[in-house]
Amino acid sequence: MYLARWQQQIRKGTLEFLVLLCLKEQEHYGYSLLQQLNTMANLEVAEGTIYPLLNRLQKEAYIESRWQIMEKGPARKYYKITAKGQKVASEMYNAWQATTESLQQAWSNANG
Amino acid sequence: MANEQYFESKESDKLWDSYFAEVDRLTSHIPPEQRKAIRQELESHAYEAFTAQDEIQEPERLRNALEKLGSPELIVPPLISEESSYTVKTPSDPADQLRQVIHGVSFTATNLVRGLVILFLALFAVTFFVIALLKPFTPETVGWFTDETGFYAFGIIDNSLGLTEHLGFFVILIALLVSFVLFKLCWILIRPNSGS
Repeated sequence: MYLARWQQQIRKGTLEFLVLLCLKEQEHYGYSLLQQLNTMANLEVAEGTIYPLLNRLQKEAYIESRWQIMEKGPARKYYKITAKGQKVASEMYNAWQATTESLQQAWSNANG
Repeated sequence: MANEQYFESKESDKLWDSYFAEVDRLTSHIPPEQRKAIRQELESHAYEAFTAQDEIQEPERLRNALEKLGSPELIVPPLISEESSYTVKTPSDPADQLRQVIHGVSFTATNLVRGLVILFLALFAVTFFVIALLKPFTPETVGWFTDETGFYAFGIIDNSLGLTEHLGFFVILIALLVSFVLFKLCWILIRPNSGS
């Protein structure tokens, strides 16, 4: 139970990074992004979480959006990563790598 | 803004319209452009989730999609708090900036006035409720009083002057009725659509 909650917190913490990675691959609209997060990272994200997050990323100019009129149904809002977003994604990856190395070091020391 | 005939059944139309009427209600205080963007994004999501399912009846599919999306009360407020990206940018035109400031100030002032009105109504409602409660215990000091000079008072008084009370226990009914009406008014002011 405790472990599951801890894992969930880690995943939540990496959500922005994963969203940027998804959008780096290709542009997505909200619903398809949720599907992709599920496929790519086995991450179930609530609808109520993803849209405020997308807005935040857009506010920071890490992603941008455009509306696409559909033949049937409401227009879709497609999101794609910006150059600034790509840079931040790379920095996030480096930070993640550094964190992983620190953890491995700590683990080695503790079990050494 | 009704749905654009996305569905075949009237029940689905009704579900859709009812959900997005609630979204509209919850976004009624924000600028129209932002309001429209929030609605469009949620419409798009609901419709995609709806079309992604098969093998079940249309209204059921839509109901599932809307339930998965979450109730408007839960999903809309975080979207509003992250609002600036919906309005895209701070306007560069000083007139637009001024309009935005005026909109913000008038929104705050309206809410402040509404809050004060609700507070006063609630206080009166509680007072009338207390009058109704106290009447059976101290009938001689609670009610509608007059004296021969035309002086009158309603409520709870120190009746050392020996004023005449006119309503008797009927005051309980009146006080409860007034209290109920005042509470109802408070509720309508807190949730504008609850009265309809």
